[in-house]
Order: sequence, then structure tokens, then C-alpha cells
Amino acid sequence: MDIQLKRGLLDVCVLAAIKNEDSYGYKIIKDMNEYVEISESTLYPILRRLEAADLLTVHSKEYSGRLRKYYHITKAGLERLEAFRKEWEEIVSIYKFVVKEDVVNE
Amino acid sequence: MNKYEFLAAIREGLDGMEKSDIDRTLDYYREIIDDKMDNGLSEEEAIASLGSVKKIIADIRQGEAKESADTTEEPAPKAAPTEPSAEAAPVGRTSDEAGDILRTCARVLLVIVGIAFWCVAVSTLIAGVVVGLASLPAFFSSLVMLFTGNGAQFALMLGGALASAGIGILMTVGTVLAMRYYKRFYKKIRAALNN
Repeated sequence: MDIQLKRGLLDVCVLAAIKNEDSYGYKIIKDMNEYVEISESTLYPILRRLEAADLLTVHSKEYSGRLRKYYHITKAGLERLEAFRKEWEEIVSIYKFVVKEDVVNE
Repeated sequence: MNKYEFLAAIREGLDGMEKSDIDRTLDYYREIIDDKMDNGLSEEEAIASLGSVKKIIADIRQGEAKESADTTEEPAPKAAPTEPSAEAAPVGRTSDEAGDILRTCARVLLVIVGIAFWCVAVSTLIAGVVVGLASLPAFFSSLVMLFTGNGAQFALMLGGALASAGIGILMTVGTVLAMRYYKRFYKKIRAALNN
């Protein structure tokens, strides 16, 4: 897959992983790995980039005597997801057209 | 390798980066290892599942470089500055405002040099074509000399014609090549300035 395309797709995947509830590193990777392969070292720069772009925020919460970082999606992050959904609705319909079975008109 | 050794190796590999960035990175990996252990893995298994320390450091450094290219004004360290952009490199690293002024000056200079180059190139090209064309009547004259039995003058004319043709070709081809190389050079500088 095109590197730039994959990079953009992983960004929205991470946002989707924290869309419904705040999540943390380990859980994000576990949830994403059901759909797309991602390693811990790939996720980290994505989280940093999304935070820099104000698409998510980070806060620490105590868990089992240690501090865990939780990631929370922002309004801008939700808007980004919505934009992605709209964009791909069109791509999916084009895809359906392209792979449509050839109708034999004899 | 235990957790302490692993994190120490990461810290060492990230040497040179901002301390806050390094600490943040270590927090991230420490947390992931702890979570993996809470989910049944042993410390060794958790660390092994993260891959080689070398690859982790490479991925982090690459990610940081992309991030700084996206969010800041300064050029990413991986943008290899080639010889011609030696002028552009220091320009990109000064503070925002001074950098902008210098960059504008550099751009203006580039335009002036460009205009000068094209003036010279076009003149040389035209001159080359003219000189080359001048060889044609010279050739004919030399043939006339040949047929009127003027051996010496034939040789002279022929020599002049050949010289004219040769110089004309050199000038034309040379200018075309120079134009091509200039275009490449210009693109590189422009790209370096715009980063």
C-alpha cells in the first residue's frame, strides 16, 4: 500500500479506537490489531502527531499503583473521522462499480 | 533482557533528542510492558514482543523527524542538504522572522541569477546558431574555389567553414546542456528554500 495512504489510514484508525471511550496504548494496539497490523513503535509517533494536531488530548490516571496515559478524542478529532467517513463513502461506491461483475449483453 | 536494561538501551539510543521527548517515550514503553505483563506475559516475553531495540529507536527517530517536519518551520534533519543548498541550510535554521527575511533575500537573489543566466544562455544559443549557419556559405565558397582551381583558397575556406560549424555546434549544444543542469540546480535550491 502507498506509504502516505497507510500513514493517513493509521491516523484515523487510532482516532476510531478512542472514539467511543478514552483508551490507552496497550488497549489501542490490541483493538486495532483485529483489523490492521500495528506495532508499539508505529503507534507512538502517531499518538504524538495526533496530539500535536489537537485531534486528541492526553491525561494520566492511576491504575494498579502506577500511572497510565489515557488518550481522549477532541471535537476536531471527531470531525476528522466524519470527513474520512464521507470521503470513503464515495471511494466505496467507485470500488463497487469497478469490481462489478461484467454483464454479458449478447 | 529485563525491563530496566531495555529502557536503558532505549534511552541510550535516543541520545540527542529532547529530554522531555525521551522521558515521554520511556513512559510509553514502560506502560506497555507493564500492561502486557498484567495480561499474562512474563517480563521477558513482553520485552521480546516489542521487537529489537535497534528497530524501535529507528522507528521513533523517523517518527520524530516526520513530526518536526509537519509541525515546525525548521527543516527536518533528514532533508539531506546537497552542495548547492549550502546557502539555504543556514537560512532555514535561524529564528522564524530573521529566517523569513533571509529566505526572501535568497529567493530574490535566485531570481536575479536566473534572469542573468537566461540572458547569457539565450545570447550564446543565438550566437551559436548564427556561427553554425555561417559555415554553410563558407562551405559553398570553398566548393567554388575547388572548381575554379584555387586549391589554396579552397583549403582555407573549408578550414574556416569547419571551424565555424564546430564552434556553432559546441555553443548550441553546450548552452542546451547548461540550461538543463541549471534547471536541476534551480529546482534543488528552490526545494531547499521552501522547506
